[in-house]
Amino acid sequence: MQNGQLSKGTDSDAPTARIAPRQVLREAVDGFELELELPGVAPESVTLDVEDRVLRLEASPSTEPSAEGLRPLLREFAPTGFAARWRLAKDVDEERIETRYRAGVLTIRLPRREPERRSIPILET
Amino acid sequence: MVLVNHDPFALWSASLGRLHSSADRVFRELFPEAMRPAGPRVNLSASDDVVELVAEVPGYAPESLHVRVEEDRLVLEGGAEESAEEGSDAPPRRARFRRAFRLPFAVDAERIEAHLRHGILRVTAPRLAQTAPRSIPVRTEPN
Repeated sequence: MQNGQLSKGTDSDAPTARIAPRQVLREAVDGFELELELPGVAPESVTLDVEDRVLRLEASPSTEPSAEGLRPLLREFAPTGFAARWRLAKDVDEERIETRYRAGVLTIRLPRREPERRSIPILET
Repeated sequence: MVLVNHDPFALWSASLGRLHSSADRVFRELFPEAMRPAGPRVNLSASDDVVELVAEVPGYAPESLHVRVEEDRLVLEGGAEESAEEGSDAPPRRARFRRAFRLPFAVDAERIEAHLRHGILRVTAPRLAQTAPRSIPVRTEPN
């Protein structure tokens, strides 16, 4: 994962259409979990970065060779890339964001920052 | 004092999601959600000697997907298999589905291959080898 790096140019020279992935957001006491469906996307084709508390995802589909001479009989989807942005809650710890990828599903863990404890001195006057 | 964050994720992505690409919009118009059968989106194509089915099945484990031939149909079923042990990397269980597609020709069920990669299932079913042409003898009725 690249933190704080926005790769310029990927928007303009995107070879394929990009849509927002199907997503599920879960909230737990210690943070959030964002589950994204990215069918056809290899983990190495996913770019995830954070800047100004905005989490940004871009993903390109990998193309698999098909048999020769195929004629379409039914066509319900085209290989697509994905793009999405989320504004992070103030208490999400950007440094501890974790991801895992499995079978076309990217899960992003967004832990909450540990609450800062500050003891306030009691002054006797 | 507790500061409650009411809307932790401003729904940027929701609005971004509405800016669908033209390709996606075309597919949405051709296959509106209500008209589409339950289950994954698929592409089905055929050459003279092979049928290829490509399905979007993100999150499905290979053991939770089943491909078979029922008469003149290719059937794809999936879901509802419990993922391994608790705390594994497996995503939550996926919805059960069944889709069936009429085949343009008889296929060799023994030689069907299915590969799952990055949440895309690709099934290739070769045409059943033609049996040798059978010549039908024309007999003359004895007079």
